[in-house]
Amino acid sequence: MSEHEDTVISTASEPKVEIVEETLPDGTVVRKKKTTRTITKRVLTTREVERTQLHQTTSSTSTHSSSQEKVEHVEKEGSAEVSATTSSTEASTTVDSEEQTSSSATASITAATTSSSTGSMSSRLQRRLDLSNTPLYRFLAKFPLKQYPAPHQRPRPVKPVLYAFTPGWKVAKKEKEAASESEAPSESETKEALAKEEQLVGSFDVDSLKWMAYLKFNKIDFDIKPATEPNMSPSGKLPFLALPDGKLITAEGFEAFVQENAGSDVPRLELDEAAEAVAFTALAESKIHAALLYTLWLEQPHFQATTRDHYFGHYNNRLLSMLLAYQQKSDVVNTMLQTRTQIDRELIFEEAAQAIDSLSVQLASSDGDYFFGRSEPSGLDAVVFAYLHVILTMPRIANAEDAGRSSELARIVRKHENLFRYSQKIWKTWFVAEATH
Amino acid sequence: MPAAELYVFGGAFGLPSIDPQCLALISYMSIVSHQEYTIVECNDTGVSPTGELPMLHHGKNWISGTNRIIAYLSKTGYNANEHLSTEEIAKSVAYGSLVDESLTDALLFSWFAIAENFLGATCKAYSNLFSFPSRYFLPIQIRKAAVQRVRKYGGRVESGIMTDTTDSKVYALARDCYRVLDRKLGDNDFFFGVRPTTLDAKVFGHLALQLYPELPDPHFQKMLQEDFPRLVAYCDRCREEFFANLPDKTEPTENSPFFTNPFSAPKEWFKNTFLTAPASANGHVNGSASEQEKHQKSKEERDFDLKRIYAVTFGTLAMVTYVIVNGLVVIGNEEEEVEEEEDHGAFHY
Repeated sequence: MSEHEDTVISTASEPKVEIVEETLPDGTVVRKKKTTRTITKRVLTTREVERTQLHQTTSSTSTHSSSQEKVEHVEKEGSAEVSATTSSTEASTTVDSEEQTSSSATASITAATTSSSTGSMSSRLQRRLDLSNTPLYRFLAKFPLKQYPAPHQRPRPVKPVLYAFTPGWKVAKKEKEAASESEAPSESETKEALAKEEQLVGSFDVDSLKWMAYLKFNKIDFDIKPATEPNMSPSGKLPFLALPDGKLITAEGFEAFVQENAGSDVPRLELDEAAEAVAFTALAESKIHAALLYTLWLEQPHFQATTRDHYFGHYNNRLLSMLLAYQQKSDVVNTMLQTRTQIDRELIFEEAAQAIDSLSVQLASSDGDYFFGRSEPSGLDAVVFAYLHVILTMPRIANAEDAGRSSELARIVRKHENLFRYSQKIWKTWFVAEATH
Repeated sequence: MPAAELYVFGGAFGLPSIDPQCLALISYMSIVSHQEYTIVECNDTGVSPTGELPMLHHGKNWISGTNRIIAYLSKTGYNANEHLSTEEIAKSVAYGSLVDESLTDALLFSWFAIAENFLGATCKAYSNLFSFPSRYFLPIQIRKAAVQRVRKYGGRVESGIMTDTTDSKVYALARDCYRVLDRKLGDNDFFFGVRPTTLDAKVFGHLALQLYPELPDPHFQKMLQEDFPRLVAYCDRCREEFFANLPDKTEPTENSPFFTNPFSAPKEWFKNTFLTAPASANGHVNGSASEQEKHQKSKEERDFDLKRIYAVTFGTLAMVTYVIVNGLVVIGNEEEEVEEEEDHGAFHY
């Protein structure tokens, strides 16, 4: 066998669709639709497998190696019925990229081999126009004349990739501080190294953190890519998930995706618990979400110092980031006004306090690490943890003008010891522990 | 409860009120107190300080918004949740917020986004409540706002009207919500046993308006009747219990002190703007610090209002004076001058 180089190159031609009629030995006519796509590959070890496949395959794509192999393969077959006229082709035309001269020969030879591999099926009913033998096709089959190996090939992702708003609140700040310090280089280097390790772990955005937690709890392996532009995703909102086969999962299909691909040993909720989880999720996503939106976007000191930089700080143009931030703020206001007639700060915070109180009571009502007294977290834990973590890790504004208003939500959460410990525990168990592996 | 008045939207479809929040509050009131209050059918959200009905007028307190009113009543001794444990109260809060979120959206979708329903039933129902001329344009305004709110469930919106409503996510959402409520209710009479609580009031307020009205395209009604018979039985039970003895409908005893204008209530307006500070807007039973804050705010508001009135009056007077002085508009005595001119101008052709 000839030696091949160590590179793997694959080029695919356009798929060719044909409808072929065959007669089986007992006389029944079978009509098959064949899609042929020729993939020229150079493969090192799987030669044997490919050859055996070629024997058996009667449909679709055929992969093959170089022309030399072809010739040997034909010799192995033995029979060399080269019928240039109409013969029953299984349409597996193979094109060799290297040798122009032998290409036409291979085309006809493979036609013969495949016809032989399927047994004697030629009959009067198989009058099929053999496209592969027309002169035009044979001429075109000579191109590309020479193919060079690609100098750089992008590695296909193996795991699903989550595009989300990482990192968390304080890590990004730490990085900025480390970058601006020039006094103690060794210190800042270690800080940077630390920051890079922790970098792609948390998030400052509730939706991103929710997805991360939910994927981790269901033991789905994934990579994280930091993304700051919501228009990257097909639904216009981050985060979204990119699967290795090219599909993109947005908020609509996320639940279904996780249910399909969950690890096998992940325990599910009972029906009653699942029903209550729906209610508590709705509670968190309406009341706590409203208070969080208010704190992030409508408390002026907090908005200017933190939120604006995190969501829109990646633009070089300062004017642009300011404009986009104000546009987002007015969008937030309009969304809040759809469900209430007035944005009343007292009422919003009162309802959020009541919601956090209820969550704390619910958590305490059953002994266990997670909600409903379970030892493994569920979807409700992902939601609640996301909100609690984002609220608790928000950087505090030590400003006289603010007088502690923007950290009111954090204070409300801290009052409930069990929620605080719960959030910390999930962070340590599921997020930090994995990052240090 | 001395002279408590409940301002709500008027009734439709055979129910005491057309608005789910108002209906929930009427149910709540009939749980905690029978016949100690009166219902005022005012269909004007402008009388309320936050722009939402229902509103409660109790003595000197004006409170608006369902959750605020329920909080106020619980504090003043009319608590429907007093026999519940803390855990059950926590669950009640959670289920209550689920109902407020999902079922309101489902109701708005069913009434406003589906064109046949709007034109066939909802528009007429609302028109009967309003007076001339609001009845011609208010329902359409309401529809615009409702469509904005439910557009996130799919469907195209063109100039306030929604098309393509056939496969919207709101049906799945409503079904999930019904299933959750059905599971929670189980075989009990009410959600937490044999006595009705706040959650029962809220759930019934929403479910009644999805079950009882006859609509041209009754999607949710069919869903309830076919798949959730327990919820239907529950609604019938609640209807008997809550709406058996409803109090009388009366006219309001005094006008609301908010948002008065010189045309509809001249005396109140004059009093409020120039003489006194209006009563506390929210009726929170808070500490004195926040009340002082509120008084300060209302003083600033009053100053602003006064300044605005002075400015507008001064501007109008100035314009009128200018116009008269410069002869652009002459008042009286014009005919005599014209006659004299005609005499003198006899030689002109």
